[in-house]
Amino acid sequence: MIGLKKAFDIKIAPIFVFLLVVPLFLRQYHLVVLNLVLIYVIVIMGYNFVLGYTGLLSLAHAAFYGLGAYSTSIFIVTLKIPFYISFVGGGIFTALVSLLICFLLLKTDLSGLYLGMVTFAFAEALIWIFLHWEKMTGGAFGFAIGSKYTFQGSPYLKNYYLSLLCAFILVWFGANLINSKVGRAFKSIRDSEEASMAMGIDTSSYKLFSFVLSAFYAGIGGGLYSIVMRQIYPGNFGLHESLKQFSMLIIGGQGTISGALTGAFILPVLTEVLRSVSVLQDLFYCLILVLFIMFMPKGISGLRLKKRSGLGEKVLRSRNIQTLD
Amino acid sequence: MSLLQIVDVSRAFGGLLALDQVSISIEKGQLLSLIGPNGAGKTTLINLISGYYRLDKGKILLNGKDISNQKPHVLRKAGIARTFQRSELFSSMTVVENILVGLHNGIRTNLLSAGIGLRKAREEEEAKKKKAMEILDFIGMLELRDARAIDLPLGLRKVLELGRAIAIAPKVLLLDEPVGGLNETEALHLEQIFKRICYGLEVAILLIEHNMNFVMRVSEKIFVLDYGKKIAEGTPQEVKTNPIVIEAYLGKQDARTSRC
Amino acid sequence: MIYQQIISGLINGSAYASVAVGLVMIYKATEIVNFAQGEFFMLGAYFAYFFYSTLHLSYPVALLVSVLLVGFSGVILERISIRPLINRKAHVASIFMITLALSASLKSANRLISGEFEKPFPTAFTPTPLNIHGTFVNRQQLLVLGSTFVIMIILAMFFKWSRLGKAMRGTSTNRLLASLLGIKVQGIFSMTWFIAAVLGALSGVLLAPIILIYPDMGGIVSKVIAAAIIGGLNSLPGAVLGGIIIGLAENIGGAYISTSLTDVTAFLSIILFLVFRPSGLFGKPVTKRV
Repeated sequence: MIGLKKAFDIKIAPIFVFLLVVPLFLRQYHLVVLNLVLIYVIVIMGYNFVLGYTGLLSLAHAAFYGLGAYSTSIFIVTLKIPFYISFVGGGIFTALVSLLICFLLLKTDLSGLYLGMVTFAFAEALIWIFLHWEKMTGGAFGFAIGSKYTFQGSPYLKNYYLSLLCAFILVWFGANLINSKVGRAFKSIRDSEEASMAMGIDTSSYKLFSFVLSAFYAGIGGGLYSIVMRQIYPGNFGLHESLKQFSMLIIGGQGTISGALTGAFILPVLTEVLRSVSVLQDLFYCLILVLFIMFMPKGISGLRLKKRSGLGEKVLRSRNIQTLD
Repeated sequence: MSLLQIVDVSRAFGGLLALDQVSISIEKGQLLSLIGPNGAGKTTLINLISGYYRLDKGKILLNGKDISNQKPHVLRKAGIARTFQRSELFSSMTVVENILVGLHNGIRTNLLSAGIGLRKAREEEEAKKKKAMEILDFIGMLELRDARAIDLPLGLRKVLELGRAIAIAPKVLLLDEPVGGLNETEALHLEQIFKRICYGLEVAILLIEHNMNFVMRVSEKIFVLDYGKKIAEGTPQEVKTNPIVIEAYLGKQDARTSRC
Repeated sequence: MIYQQIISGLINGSAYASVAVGLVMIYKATEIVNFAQGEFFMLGAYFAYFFYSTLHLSYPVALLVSVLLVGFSGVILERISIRPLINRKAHVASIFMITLALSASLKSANRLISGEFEKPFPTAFTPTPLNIHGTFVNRQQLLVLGSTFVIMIILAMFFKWSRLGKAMRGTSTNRLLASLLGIKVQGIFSMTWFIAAVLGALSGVLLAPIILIYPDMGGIVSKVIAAAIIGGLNSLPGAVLGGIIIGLAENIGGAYISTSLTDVTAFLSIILFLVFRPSGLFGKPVTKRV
């Protein structure tokens, strides 16, 4: 893990400077696209905690993203809570809801496929609420944040910097967690829950923490999304979005930070590039996802992982032991 | 007062009585073996002691305190460590990371400090890494510290599992077939580590094994289970010549050959 | 009035039941929850539409051809995407996600080919309903009910008495033992997917004249999963009962409590059952061995 000062010194610095400066040269439309990339960086970073590192099949992430979007919007417009509090509050609210869901699930200690189905059901139930609780959410007509509620004077630029700040903080925090005992605990649960318990890790609590943490990230991402787009619909957060997020994680590479970042960057950019052939877009993504699951389950960053085990491999080879690649 | 006392412990699965009023006493620093034909209840006993199964009857005492039916991660703090019959290493992590997971509870940093990379957190992480190296040195795997666990051959896996269990700094070490599938050299290597653990670290070891040569050579005392009951206990010499034990093993042999 | 709801519930329910049996078959054989099961339903309906409405083949022929085509599609899907993952012992989660991805692929491919909008499926019989003791049932609905009933009996006999059926049961109970006994396990997988796809497609073809067909028809999979969970994921008769329960609950709840409840019944059932009774009504609970 790295303290705040160190975080600036590493390779991150040039990328960060680039991200700081580039919006001044971009047109409004591309600025929004880059903004969405940053939002997905947060969201996928969060998804990585629960699915990539802890190995829990959660299909509720897109719904939490939606919950963050709706709660932030409702806090700002309906409850007239000040902007920044609403935004963070949206993330916290989403985390609290996920905590509630977890308590229901914890007594049964669900895992694997069963968890996948339950989170799927919860996600659909949440979408149903977005669609049918018309008084609060506007139902099928969606919910709008009027421009008077957001930044005045170059709002696109200010939205972008807000997203950049959040992305930076959350990625830094997340990376630190991953490189500490927390990350190791997550990975140990994924690799062998029994052995993890034998090591003294309270796996139930860590699974809960992983779930709630990722929901918080999704909630913040959703909040940012609602601020940037200023108009959200229930359909934005359903199965389609779930698949999109899942694709980003798999294609980028689950279980690594660089993977999450890669996936979050590639897909929105690719979407833009392929905008002209938008009809084929959906099909294209689904097929790519299928291909990746079949042939490159470790994603793009998985290709780089193979190179990194260098030192350990050398020692094993010197003892005449064949390594697994 | 014994270090670990298993008192009249019973456990049934469905209608089958896997363990029937078994009592065993373990002292500090002893190297003990648990043997018996397949299905005798050996792994069940280990699962009961380490908190993976609940007891139906009886109790388990550690230094006089009742630790029956606690969860595994709580028992770890009490000082019970175990390994698994099928290698349950953390295959996605490196050798040193596997050991670091064992040191998990020793790390006092809370989640928030870890997240913001507080200096105290970083220092503690460094200290734990050093401790992990010491453990790797103890088991003779220091130079393999960055190897991926998934690349290790069986012999080294078993050694790493042992290293991970020691990292907990346990009082009692429960080993489920620690030399299963290993050749003579590898088994000898592990045997030496066991001796260092028992005499050097004063940790009690209770191991399950089918490799009789190994068991006879290594154990101070042997417990024999058959059909869930303890049928004998004593020194290797006593057990080897015990007619009940011979009957239990050979008797099964006869039954098997007569059916063909 | 309530009889009307019950009849509708039974009809929808039997369609769900059929598709659910397919889902449970795949689960029992391979421990996979096939999210694409709903797509078999959709493909059945669309193929039938093509053969019946566009090519003007007779309804029975269209039915037969569609169902067989979808059956073979199921086998192709299994061979190409699922089997490699099973063979390399991939995480069940990966396999589940790939069925999800396949389902989405089929959905969007269909959208491209057939367009976004619903199409009415012309009915095969006279549309005038029969009047049975005050409730109205039309012939298509009777066909759905009747066929499902017949199919279930045929399936039950198949599993109980035929060699292939017994081989399938053996494989799902103990795969290793089955292969040691000389059963070609890979072939069993293909057969399982074939039958599951056929069941899905059959429901689709039979139900198509009653409902409109639209690219998102595969959404039925939520109800099918709910049905399977209610009955118990490893119980075939449970799937049938689960399907009927969902069908009845949706219709009765929808009529007497609120129409918006029809959608959410399935999700609520999944949550309630998985939290309080994961093995469903008839399933066998799974114990973990350390």
